Amino acid sequence: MQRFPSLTRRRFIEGFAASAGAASLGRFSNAAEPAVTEPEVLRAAEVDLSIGERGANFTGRTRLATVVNGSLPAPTLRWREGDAVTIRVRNELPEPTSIHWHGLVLPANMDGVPGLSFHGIAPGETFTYRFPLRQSGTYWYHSHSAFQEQLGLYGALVIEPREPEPFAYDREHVVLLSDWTDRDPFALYLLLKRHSDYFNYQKRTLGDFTRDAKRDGLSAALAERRDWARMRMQPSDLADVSGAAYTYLMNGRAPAANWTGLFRPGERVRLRFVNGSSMSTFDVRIPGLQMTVVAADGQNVHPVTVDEFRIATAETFDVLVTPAGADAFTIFAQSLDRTGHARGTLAVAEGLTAPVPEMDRIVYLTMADMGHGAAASDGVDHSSHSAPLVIAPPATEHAEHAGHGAAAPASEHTAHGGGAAVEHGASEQRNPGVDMQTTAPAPKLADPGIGLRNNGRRVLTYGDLHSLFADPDGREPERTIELHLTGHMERFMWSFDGIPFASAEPLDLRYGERVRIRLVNDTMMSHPIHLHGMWSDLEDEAGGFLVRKHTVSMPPGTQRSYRVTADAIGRWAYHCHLLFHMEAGMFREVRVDG
Amino acid sequence: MVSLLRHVHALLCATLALAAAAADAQQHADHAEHAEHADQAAPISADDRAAAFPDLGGIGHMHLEDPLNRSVLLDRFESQDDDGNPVAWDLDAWVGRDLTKLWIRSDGERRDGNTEQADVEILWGKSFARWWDLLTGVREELDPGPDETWAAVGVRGTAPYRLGLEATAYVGDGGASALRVETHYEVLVTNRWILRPELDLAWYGQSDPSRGRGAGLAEGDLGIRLRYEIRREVAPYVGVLLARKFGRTADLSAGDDDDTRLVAGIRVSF
Repeated sequence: MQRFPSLTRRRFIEGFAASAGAASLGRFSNAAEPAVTEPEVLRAAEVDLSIGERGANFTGRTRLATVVNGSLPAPTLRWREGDAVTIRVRNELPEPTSIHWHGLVLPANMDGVPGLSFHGIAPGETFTYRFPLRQSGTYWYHSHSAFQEQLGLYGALVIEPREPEPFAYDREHVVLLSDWTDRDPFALYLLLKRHSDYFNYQKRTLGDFTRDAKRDGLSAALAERRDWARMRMQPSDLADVSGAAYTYLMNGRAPAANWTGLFRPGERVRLRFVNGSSMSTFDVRIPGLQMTVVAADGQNVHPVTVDEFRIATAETFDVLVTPAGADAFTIFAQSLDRTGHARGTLAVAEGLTAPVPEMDRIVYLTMADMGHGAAASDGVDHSSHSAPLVIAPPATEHAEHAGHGAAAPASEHTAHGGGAAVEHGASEQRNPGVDMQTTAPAPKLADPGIGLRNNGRRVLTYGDLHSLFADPDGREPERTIELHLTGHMERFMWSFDGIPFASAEPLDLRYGERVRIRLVNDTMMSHPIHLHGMWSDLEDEAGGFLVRKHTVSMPPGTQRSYRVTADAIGRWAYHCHLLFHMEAGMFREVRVDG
Repeated sequence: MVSLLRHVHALLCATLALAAAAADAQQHADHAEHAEHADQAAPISADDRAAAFPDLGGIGHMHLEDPLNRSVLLDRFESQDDDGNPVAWDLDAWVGRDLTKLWIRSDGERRDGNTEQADVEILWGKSFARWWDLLTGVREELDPGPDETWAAVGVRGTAPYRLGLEATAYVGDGGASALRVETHYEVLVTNRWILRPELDLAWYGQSDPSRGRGAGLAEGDLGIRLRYEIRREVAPYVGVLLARKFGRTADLSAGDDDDTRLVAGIRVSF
């Protein structure tokens, strides 16, 4: 397998040892441009944010970043539940901008999605957001305009609860993970549409084939290659954009710049992890420490202690750690495709480091991963997560579908008992924008996911997450809306049900109703699906309430269901949070009215 | 003994009754919660609606769903080890969107500074299936001989087993017809060393001795090229080209019908 042995390559992955603030300015930005700074913490209920451009140097080259109050990430906002906040956002960019408050339940016209909730913020204009804080926890905010998120417009948002937390800690740190590229994001997007595997340097080679043939026998290796070749796909397609383009950041620092969070021995530390990346999934661990997960997407969960967790784009996890026995611990966040990592240190003093682990080897997708019902070929015991699907559809489901038109695939939906084959709507058939359909999807809630199975570490799964509260609505969903995540890897087209946003009708919800959304992943990639304005209450395999989330990760081959209470009127965005998938059309308007 | 059993029985009954009462109470509580929730879905005021559905003056959500894109691939630009130091090219370019593209294709060969053979095609491409585009347009043969125009219709795509395939049928002046099929495969020796076998075949419907064409299978080129991708866009290569002529076409070529050439060139895309 081709690795990247060269020094330049290593420097690119590890980034510059200097923090972004010490950037020297090159030809790609105006020399008069000040460099980006590190984020401040803003605690007032009235905040002024100014969106502009500054030079950032994470790789040895300086590029213009999109920043808030001069920093990348944007300032950390710390508010208090129950307060009403006022945020004046001034646009100093030459193009329109916006800020979306990810995971916050607020009036639709404060949600910050241009063209749905408001006009956007024109150059030179100031827009004032005002809304009450009706929740607490760890969230984040980011631009919802063009590719500004990829250029650095994201920050952490912490809301302190009115009531005491159900757990104690002595100090806390925000750990915001992101991905940075020196490339122009629009050019990168066009490049993916021309050459979707441009950044994949982990495709299997003749050498891999020889090794597999020796290990599994020639006929087994040939048969496995044949399956993939017939599909015209690559089992190494884990990420569209890899470490070949990205430098992964922790709180705005490249690995070599080593963001450091301090602790005193014996303290219990709360880490608020936010995945603010555009296109990256991270597997996070702190060698030598166990992490007790206490919240997911800002909402408290029954504590669960793990060695490692996977965090999809836009998700947040709060963990408690009690560093002991050493002065420094590495926070290690490797990308899903194992082409790079973010890294920082928990230490008793600045300047200390702990060993940084080697990245794990890439694990290739199997046909079973993609929900093709093939026998597990990766030697993993799948019994725990390939159990027959028993989501009982409510009696009204068929009638609802009949009357629902474009919102659901046109075909009838049968009960998915016993892992029965899934049905695909007419809009997915004979569609040059759809390259694959899954045949036997399952919730896989107890599956740690590709690359994390049987790795000797206790890895968090969705099945481990149980909200600390009972189903806050309690009603059974009145109907089920099934949506398939669809796409074409090679053409880099992405959609729901084979219909991209521009051609799709809004999904209509009646104000006050309780619906179940069932997602089926018909692609070979993982998609973090985010519904604005309302919670996504994830269900377990039996249809019971599991955990309240704002972003639901959908690995390939999965079918997962969640309940939504349509308690907020307005026009809401509903989309894959991988930035380039969203832009390519894996996006719907959800319209709540009544 | 009997009284003891009675006591146990009474105790069990009491426990069950308590449990039932607790479950009942829970249900009531749940019910109250639901009722409360139903109350929460309060009527929407006109102000609420105005705030939730602001007048955006018809401005929709901006997406860059299917932007205008372009691609230029100089698939082969090579020097061949043969008399007259031939230089050959094969260009594939397009401008367009996800499913509709305007293609420009060209290939040709120059020897001793003279163009031996050259053609240009302009085709409208439309994706009609998961892996296939339909291409229709014109082909202009610039050399050899006087310019010649063909109408072209073909397909382009990826066959199972990841076989790249282009098949185009042509109709020219006076009912002339031709068929060209190009197929290639890529073997990853490593992720940067890529071995590419390619087979190009041409058939003609009619013989045209003035242009050296015989009816039937006429020409076949089998190339095997090994490239190194310095970056995706720039890849020098070396290879072998076996060029053969068949049937009537071979007869018309006066012995020059079987050629094996070493090639060296560069593949460039942008």
